[in-house]
Parts: sequence; structure tokens; C-alpha cells
Amino acid sequence: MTEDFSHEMAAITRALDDAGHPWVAAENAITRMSAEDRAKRLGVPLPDPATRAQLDQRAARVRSDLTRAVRSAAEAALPAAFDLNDVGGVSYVAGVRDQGSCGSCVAFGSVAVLEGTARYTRRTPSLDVDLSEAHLFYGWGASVGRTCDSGWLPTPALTFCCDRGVTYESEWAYTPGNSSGGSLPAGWEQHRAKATGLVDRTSDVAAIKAHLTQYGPVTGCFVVYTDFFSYSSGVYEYQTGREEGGHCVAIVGYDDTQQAWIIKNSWGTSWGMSGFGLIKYGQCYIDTWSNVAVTSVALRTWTDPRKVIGAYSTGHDNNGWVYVQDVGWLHVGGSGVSHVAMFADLLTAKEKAAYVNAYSDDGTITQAYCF
Amino acid sequence: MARTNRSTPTLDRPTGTPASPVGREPHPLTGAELALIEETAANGAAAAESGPPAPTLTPPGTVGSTPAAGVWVSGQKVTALWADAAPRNAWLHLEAAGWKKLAGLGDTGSTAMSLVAAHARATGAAPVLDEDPAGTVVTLYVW
Repeated sequence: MTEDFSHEMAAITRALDDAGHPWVAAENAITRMSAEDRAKRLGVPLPDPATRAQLDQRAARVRSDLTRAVRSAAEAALPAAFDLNDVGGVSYVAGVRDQGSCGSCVAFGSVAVLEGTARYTRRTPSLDVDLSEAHLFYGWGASVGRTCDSGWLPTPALTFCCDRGVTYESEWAYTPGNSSGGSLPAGWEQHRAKATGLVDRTSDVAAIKAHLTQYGPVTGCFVVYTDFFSYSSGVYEYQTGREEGGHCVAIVGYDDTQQAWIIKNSWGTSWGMSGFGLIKYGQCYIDTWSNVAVTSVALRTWTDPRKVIGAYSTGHDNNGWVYVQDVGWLHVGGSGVSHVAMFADLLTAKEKAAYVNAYSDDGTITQAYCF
Repeated sequence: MARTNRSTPTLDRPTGTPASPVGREPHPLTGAELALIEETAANGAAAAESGPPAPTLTPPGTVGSTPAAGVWVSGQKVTALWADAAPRNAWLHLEAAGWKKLAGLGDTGSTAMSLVAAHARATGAAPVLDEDPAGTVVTLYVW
């Protein structure tokens, strides 16, 4: 731990002692950095005073609503807890990543929304969908003047994801500050994700919860105070420290018993609970500043070698479908004889338990190798 | 090509050789056949406006798989197939439920249903199917 944070840690420890230990603080890779390096990881511009006043009002309302004995009908219909890391024993959340020394947290939160939504809406936890934070931040973000120092916000980031799409990590791998010099390859649009159904659930706790259970993750922006850097476990609520900056994470679940959101951070796995954390409802604007999400994600990509484990037909022309393992249902493309030809090939692969590589153009197979 | 009267399978149990002659060899399409295809395309277009249904069930063992219930017919293997020279006149025979006609809203759709039924026969998989009030199979899943 650096000398400056050792002083902070002492104050945090005292504050937690006084509060009855609502959460646990510990040294981690973030607390071991310089203050300057910690600040670089806060990629959301703090709200102006007028906006701050609005956010304060919303947050107060959220906290007040928590004490109501009677919940809305919408909220009462929801489960008391939900975690995309554990839906019936299955996780739809990709591994924790590390944005490194760059204010690109919005890209990481937004990509986590896309990846989680792609998997959860298909109920395919093993779906290969590792998307490029580099493309989103150094590509689309840079096109509107965003840098590691300026940060960004989720709504414009996810708007790019809907309007233009984002390529896969394999096409443009992320490095902090794009130090590798990576760039967008030609033909990236043949290997990309594109979201639809951009929605804003900001300040609507029931709607955020409902979205999580129906579609997948939601972004959450919040103010980071000094003590947040040392969070290790428990339900975080501000105890002590100065306002350090704004940050964005992906909300991947909630727990009413603990009155907390489950968040996926982008500071590596040494922070928090292997990179995840719990933030109390109504804290630091986590549910009142920018809670944005999408309802579906179309993928344009070759599948990895996978087996066909299901087939479907209804008698309608060109309505043959196959279920590709770890991918889900894909419509067989083509029209007339070409549709029948591809369908026959894929059924044969199914019969032989053979592997296929299929090119899925937003859910329709337009080309297939059946070995 | 004049339409033949739509016959139905006459054998109760799938044994021996087919009751009617084997279908014609592949050939260049005649004007009448092309006209039939165009009629089929028009029917398909009409169906497309309302959108053909997408699958809702998922294979057993996958996350979110929904066991067939209610009106779905499941658990019966395909023990025979039948088709004659009439267009879209393909049938499958289930172990207990017997002969059922496959829906054919278009030539390609009918062919696809036949392929899936044939696949079920070849693999020994018991399909999951839904039928309309007339007993025609309108939805067919094979795992």
C-alpha cells in the first residue's frame, strides 16, 4: 500500500468500526497504486451542480421508497433476489476484466451489457461473445472526442452499439490507452455484435430489476469516494473519504435481503469479491444517474466448431431452423432450393453428430460447413 | 403436370414395399410446375407478412429447455414415412398415434418437414410435434 493510502485506510477502518462493519475493506491492486493512477480509472465525468441536485433528489426518493411497507405490483412480482452469475446454477456473465490506466469504464460496462444480454436472451451461457472494448472506446468514443482522460457516458456508448455495432475482441484487442496501436480492421462488419432496444431504466428500481430478470445487465454510473477503492466484501455504502470521480459498472443482479445491487467492475479480480461487489440501493447515484441497457443483441459471426443438437420446421417456406450447441437456434437462410440444401446438410451433420461451422448473419445461417 | 388426387397411406403398419410407385426422377421443370412454384411463392409471401413462427422449445439438457406439455405429441418414434407423386403429400407414422400428414404451406416448407421427419426416422429420435385440429403436423422438433 502506498503511503498516502495507508492514511486513508486507517480512516476507512475507523469509520467501518464506528458503523458496525457494514462492509470489509482490504488492500488490493487499486489501493497499491498512486492516487494519480486510481483517478485514471474513473471514466465518467462528474455531474454539474444542477444535475447533481436532480440526482440527489432521485437518490433520496429511492432510499425513501425502500422503507415503504407496500411495494408496487410490478416490484412485488419480481423475485427477492436475482444474479446473472447464478441463474439456476448457470452464469451468463463473462469474466472480470481490467480497464487498466484509462478512463474507459463506460466501454467495459457497456460491453458487459451486450455480452450478458446476448447470452441471457439466448439462454446460452457458453455463447462465444467476447466483444471489443477497444473498438467501442478508441473507435466510436474517439470519433466523438472521448479519451482516457475525458471519459464517457453509457447512453451514447450504447447508442453506437445499436446504430453501428461493435466488433469482437479478436479483431481489436484492448490495451490501456490503446498502447498496442491496435485499430479497426477492414471487414469488421462481418464479425460484429449489434444491439437493439436501447432502454433507459434510470431511477426506476423496479424497472432495473425487471430488466435484469428479463434481458440481462444494466449499466450503473456512480460517484466514487475514497473508501470505495478499498472495498473487499459486504454491502458498500459510503463511509468516509473525498469525492474521487465518476465510474461506470455493469449491474448484473440484486438482493433485496441485503438491499443491494450486484455489480461487475472492470478493475481486475483483486478488487472486491473477485472483481464483483455489492452496492446498497440508493447509494452514490448507482440507480439514479445512468441505468441504460438493451433488449437484444444480434451477432454476425462464424460459429466455432459445434454440433447441431436440434431441428425445427413448420411447413412454412424457408422456415427451417437448427439448434447449434452453445449458440442456440439459428434460422437456416436461403430461399427455396438453397434453403433446402443447407437444411439437408445441417440435418446430416446432426445425424452424424458431426461438427459444423456456420456463418450466422444476425441469427440466419448464410453459409455452413458440415464435416 | 396434372395434380394427382391426394391419396393417403393405406398400410396400417409400415411393412414391405411402398403401396404406390416410386416418384419420378429429377427433371427440368415444366411450365406448369413453374407456375405451381410461383403460386407457392405467393402463398409463402403471404405467410411471411405475418411471419412464420420461430422455435420456442430448446433441446433437453440445455438451459431453459421446456418439456413439451399440453397438446404436444412427444415420446413416440417415427416408424415409417410415406409420400406419393402429389405435391406436399408427405406423412409420418408414429408408434402409437399412427399416420399424420406433414404440413406444407409451400413446396420448400413441405420438403423441410419431410427432411426433419426423415431425420427423425433415421436417427430413431422421438420428435416433439404439434398438430392442427385436422391432425396435420404443423410444428416438428427433433432433438
